Amino acid sequence: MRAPKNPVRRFVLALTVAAASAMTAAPAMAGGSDEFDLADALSRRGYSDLAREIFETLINDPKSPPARKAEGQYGLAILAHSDAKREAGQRVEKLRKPMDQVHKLFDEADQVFAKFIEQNGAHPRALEAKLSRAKLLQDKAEYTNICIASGWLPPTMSEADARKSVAGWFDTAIGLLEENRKKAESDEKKSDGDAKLEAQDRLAIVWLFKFSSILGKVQALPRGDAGAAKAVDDLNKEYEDFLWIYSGTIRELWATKMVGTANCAVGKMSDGIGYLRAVAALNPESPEDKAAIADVVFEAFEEIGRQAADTGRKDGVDWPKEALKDFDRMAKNWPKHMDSAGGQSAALQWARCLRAAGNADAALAKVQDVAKRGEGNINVKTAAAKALGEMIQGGGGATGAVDPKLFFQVGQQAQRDGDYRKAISAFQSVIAGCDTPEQMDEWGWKAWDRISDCYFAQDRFYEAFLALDAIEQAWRKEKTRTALNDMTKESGYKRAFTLDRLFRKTKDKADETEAKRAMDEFERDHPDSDRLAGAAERNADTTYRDAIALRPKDSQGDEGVYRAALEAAIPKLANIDKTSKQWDVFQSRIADCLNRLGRTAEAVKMADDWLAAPKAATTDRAVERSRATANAQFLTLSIDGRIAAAVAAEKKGDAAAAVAGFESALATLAKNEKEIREAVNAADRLIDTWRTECLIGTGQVDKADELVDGIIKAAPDAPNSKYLAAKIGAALDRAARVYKAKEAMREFQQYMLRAAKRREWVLERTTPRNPDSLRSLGGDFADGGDYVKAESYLKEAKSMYEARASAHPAGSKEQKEELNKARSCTVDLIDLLVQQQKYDAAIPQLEEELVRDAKARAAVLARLRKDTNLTKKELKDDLIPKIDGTRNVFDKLTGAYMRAPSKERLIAAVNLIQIGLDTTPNDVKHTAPHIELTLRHAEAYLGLFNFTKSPEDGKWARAIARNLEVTGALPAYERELPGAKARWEKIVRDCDRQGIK
Amino acid sequence: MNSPAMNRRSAARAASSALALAAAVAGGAVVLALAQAPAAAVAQDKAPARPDRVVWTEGGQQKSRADGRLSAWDWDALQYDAARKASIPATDVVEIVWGDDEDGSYSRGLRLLAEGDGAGARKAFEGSVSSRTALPNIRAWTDEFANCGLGEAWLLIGGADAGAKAADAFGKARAANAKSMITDRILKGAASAELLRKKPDAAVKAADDLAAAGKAAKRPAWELDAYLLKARIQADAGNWAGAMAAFDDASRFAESAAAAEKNEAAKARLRASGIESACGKGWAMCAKADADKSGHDQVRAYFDGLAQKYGEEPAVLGAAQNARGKVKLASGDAKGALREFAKTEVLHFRARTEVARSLWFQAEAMKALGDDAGRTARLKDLKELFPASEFARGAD
Repeated sequence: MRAPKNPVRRFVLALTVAAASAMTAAPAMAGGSDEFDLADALSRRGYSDLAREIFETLINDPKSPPARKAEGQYGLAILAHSDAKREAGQRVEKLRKPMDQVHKLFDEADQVFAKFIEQNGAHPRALEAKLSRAKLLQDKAEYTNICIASGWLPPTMSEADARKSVAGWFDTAIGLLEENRKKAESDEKKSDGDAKLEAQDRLAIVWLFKFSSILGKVQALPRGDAGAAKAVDDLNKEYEDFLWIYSGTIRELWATKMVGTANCAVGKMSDGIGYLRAVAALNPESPEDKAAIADVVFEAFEEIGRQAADTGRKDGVDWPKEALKDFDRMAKNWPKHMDSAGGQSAALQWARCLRAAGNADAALAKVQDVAKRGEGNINVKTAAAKALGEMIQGGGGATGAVDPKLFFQVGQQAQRDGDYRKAISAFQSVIAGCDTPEQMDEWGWKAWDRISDCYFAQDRFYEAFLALDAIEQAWRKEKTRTALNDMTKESGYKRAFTLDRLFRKTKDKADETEAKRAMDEFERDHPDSDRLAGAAERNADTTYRDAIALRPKDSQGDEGVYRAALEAAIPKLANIDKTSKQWDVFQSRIADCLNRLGRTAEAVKMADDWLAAPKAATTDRAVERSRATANAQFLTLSIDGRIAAAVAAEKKGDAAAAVAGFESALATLAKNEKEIREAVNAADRLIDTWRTECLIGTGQVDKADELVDGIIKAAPDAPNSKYLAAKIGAALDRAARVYKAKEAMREFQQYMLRAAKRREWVLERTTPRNPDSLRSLGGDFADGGDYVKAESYLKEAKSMYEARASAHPAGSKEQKEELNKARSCTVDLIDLLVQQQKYDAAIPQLEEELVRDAKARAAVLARLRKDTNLTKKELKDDLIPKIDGTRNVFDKLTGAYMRAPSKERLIAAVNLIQIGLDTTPNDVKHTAPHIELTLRHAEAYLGLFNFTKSPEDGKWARAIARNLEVTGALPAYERELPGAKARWEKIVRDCDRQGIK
Repeated sequence: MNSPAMNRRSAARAASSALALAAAVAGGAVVLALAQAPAAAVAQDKAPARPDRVVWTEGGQQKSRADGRLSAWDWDALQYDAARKASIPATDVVEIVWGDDEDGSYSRGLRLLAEGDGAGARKAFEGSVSSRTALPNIRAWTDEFANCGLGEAWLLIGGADAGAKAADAFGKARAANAKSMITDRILKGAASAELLRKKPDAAVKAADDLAAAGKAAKRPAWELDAYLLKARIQADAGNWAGAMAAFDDASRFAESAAAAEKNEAAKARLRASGIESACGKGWAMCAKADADKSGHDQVRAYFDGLAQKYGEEPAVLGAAQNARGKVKLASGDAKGALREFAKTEVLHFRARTEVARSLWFQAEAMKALGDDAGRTARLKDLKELFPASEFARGAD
């Protein structure tokens, strides 16, 4: 029998092998189709495709009776079960599917089994189907146990829930297996001769499957569970019945081992260990017998050790100490136990018991022995590595005689897993375990180097430096030592680099001095190092780094100083000779400086030329590193630079150049995307950002929106998600305004709503909330037609302004500003009513805003509504002093009057507009608001004319329109207020139509 | 081969009495242990003569006798009376199971002590102590051993009342046998009891008694324990001068004992104890300097002197490094101190106690720098890497 894997799987695998051989050897089930048997046999031999064809033929053949069709379905379910098992067995992380997907595969097969059983109770294969279903449930449960142990549970599932499910599946399997067992038992009783032996084989297999399901259920239930205790009691009794037939066979040993484990699982340690010992104690004289029972005996020892180590001291018994006596016996009876995977696994539990009994040194020695001997078996190797990891729990590494190589591997794995504390402990163990200078040369210095890397990864730069300094100081004492010499050519550079990183974090001058000194020392001590950069290169590098550090950020910094530093860095970088190993990376830095200075065309050309140029082959690591860095930078620049140029063209108003620039960037991205993903850090985010910007720049707003939608759904917390959402929000807003200019109001509203939603998404992730943003968002939702949200955000903004106002001294300038903003929100809220054409509700509120004082209001409104012959005195004395409204109020009220006109309202509109025009400061005349008032004045007179038919009113409309024409202001007005010309033309047309001269 | 089932069935047929029985089956070592029937508790003038079981080591092997009884026991030797009498050196004894532990209360008490059940152990030992009154033929070992166990149970229970009761129990144990082989347990327990009662002077006296007993019994480990115990008592009471003197005594004693010791392993343990004591003195000095807010330079000088004396000892190098950090911290240079403590953590990782101490000090330095996040991170490291250390308890 091939050495099986983990305990339960070992057992099941052994049974599966036996079951497969028993079942294929047995005659075909009476009554089932021959085609099914053929397909089943083919699938067992790996010919799944052929088997599937046969099963599908059974289903699809029109002549197939329902029972055969059902058999075909059942057969496909068997294949589906195999597929699920295969996925469940996948351990390579990149290929492994998430647990819920694997469960889905099991469930799909299970549903077919369950359906077949339910609908074909009398079918000859019904019982077999129950056995298949039981095995599927066992496989699913085992897989889930592995998921629990490996931390693969999905976030929505707790371990307790998973265990509960596992117990449930085993429970169902027990029921299904019991039916099979009864049938097999009945067959066994009825048969004789060879048939009886075959029947006994089948019975044994089913029975042992049932025992394993009971064990699985008991292990999954929580400690102290009454159901588990009862299950074990029943198991103990059933075991006695099992023994009547199978006593003296290897099956008895497997059953005894399971019964022992089950008893331990419910806390009956004495009974459980007693059963396990009964198996472990066997020591046949015949080598054949010994070989036959070796697997089960070693599993028994392993289980004794595991249970003892897990239980510790209980009820007055020191179980680990007790178990050590069993292991002494194992060593005596099975002196070559370390030659097999089973013996090695048992030895690991022996080590656990040694450690629990206080003998840490012996435990360490044993685990290391297993790790070395078991290297060829993936399961033993994994278990040994885990056990070694347990030895270094706690600071300072392992104590005892440490094998440096083994612990170096433990450290490497922990470092890969990101468990830096464990990695550091492991590498410390390596150093402690190096007893000779030769071992230090082979492992010790590397371990120090790795310790430094672990601290560096946690941004603990001083500690990282100390670890590298340990190597440096050792080398300074023994400069002729070859290994140290080679080591410090790299670690010496890292030491200086790490000090430099420390300085950049602390900004401490003393650290800067130390960093510079370290680099000088490195240059002096290792002139032949690959890492060496000459004085010119260092100088250029420093000038470049200093320049980019001056980049203004958050309104801090001087743009002029920054640009000057960049300009100064370029010639120094360009001076580096082409023979320098760092030449490529310095070239990329020149391009970077050019890009930052806005000389994007030059930067992009440099990038394109470098990327296209053939590179001479090299084996020099320094040159390779330089090229890799330059490659990443140039790839980035080839896109960034193009986008920057396009944005600059956009700002200048050269739309064609901008679109061409974005298109060029998109094309370059498509060409280099694969390489960018491989070479550039955080490439995914960069590519998303570039693509979004380019799609927007080329007018493909909808496509860009779709892209951003996918990005923010997949990774809402990614660093660039908010930026992209804001960007697309702005793009949708601009697209909406274009529709507005074309008077395509439906599209305008749709795009505004989309823009509002994107901006809302950003706002929800921004703290603290800003009332200006809230007000703006309210306006966006209003434009988008979602008045409910608009109202909500405007109200929130208003209360925030009011709260801010109350925080300032009464009557102060700051308080007035906040109160004005709050008032603007009030007006915006009223405007929502206007937008919803609820003019009758909106107008009185606007009139309140126009004249706050209730007494004065009536008089003002009465005058405004009376006639259009306002005198200067009335304006100066009676109206303007009493009017509180802002221009915004004027705008909204006159607009409402004109949309819900009556004679009085239009008179009031004309008068208010006149007041607005008369009070407009000179410096804002001929701007969009003033132009709006002018046109509205004419429109209001025209509206009034429609009511009064007074030539006077019409005349004024005509006069205003003529004035616009005569002064030649229309083209300029059209630029300031798009659509102004169209409105003027309409005014003229209406005048013509109305016969107004 | 015999199957387990066959083994069990045949063993069941063979078992015919309620006595302890171990059966070996051909081809294996299947051990069937039937439950030991409890001996009946008989109130008679003469207790049944159940043997004492003694386990000891001799020549590296473990040996045992269960065919006789102990007639005498003290810190020199045990006299085992049987058909073949034996004198067993007390220092070699691993375990004694007293035959006249009639109701098993003493062994139960020991088990419960090991499990940390103070209340249960107290009850058991009280039963054991009082059994001598009920059964006068039971030998005097209960006065000594059971009272010691009772005292330890009271210490587990804790509290001021427990201190008095523990002290009483230990006093009785000491009175029962002035040369007890468990004198170290008795006197250490007595010292702890006095501390519970907030009587450090009495505790120091118990430590002094232990030192004297160690000398008399030629047990250097007892003497060393006594000095270290005294040092800790003094340190806990804030008597730094007393603590330093005690650590000095311990250190000197350990050195001379190590010099005289022939056994290499024992020699190494004594040397390690000496170094630990020497470092203990330095940290007592440091605690005093913290309290006085001066004197940290002397602490540093002391540890540098130790480093010169002991060479490449990780514990000393680590301590010296930490001391450098303390000097800087005391002078207000928390940043500089942090770097010194980091050196202990990175370079002197073999000295676990000092690494734990450095993490504690790093947290102090970060607190001084106002770095809450850093402080929390260091305390978390301390609790997770060195959960059993006194500093981790302080971190809680």
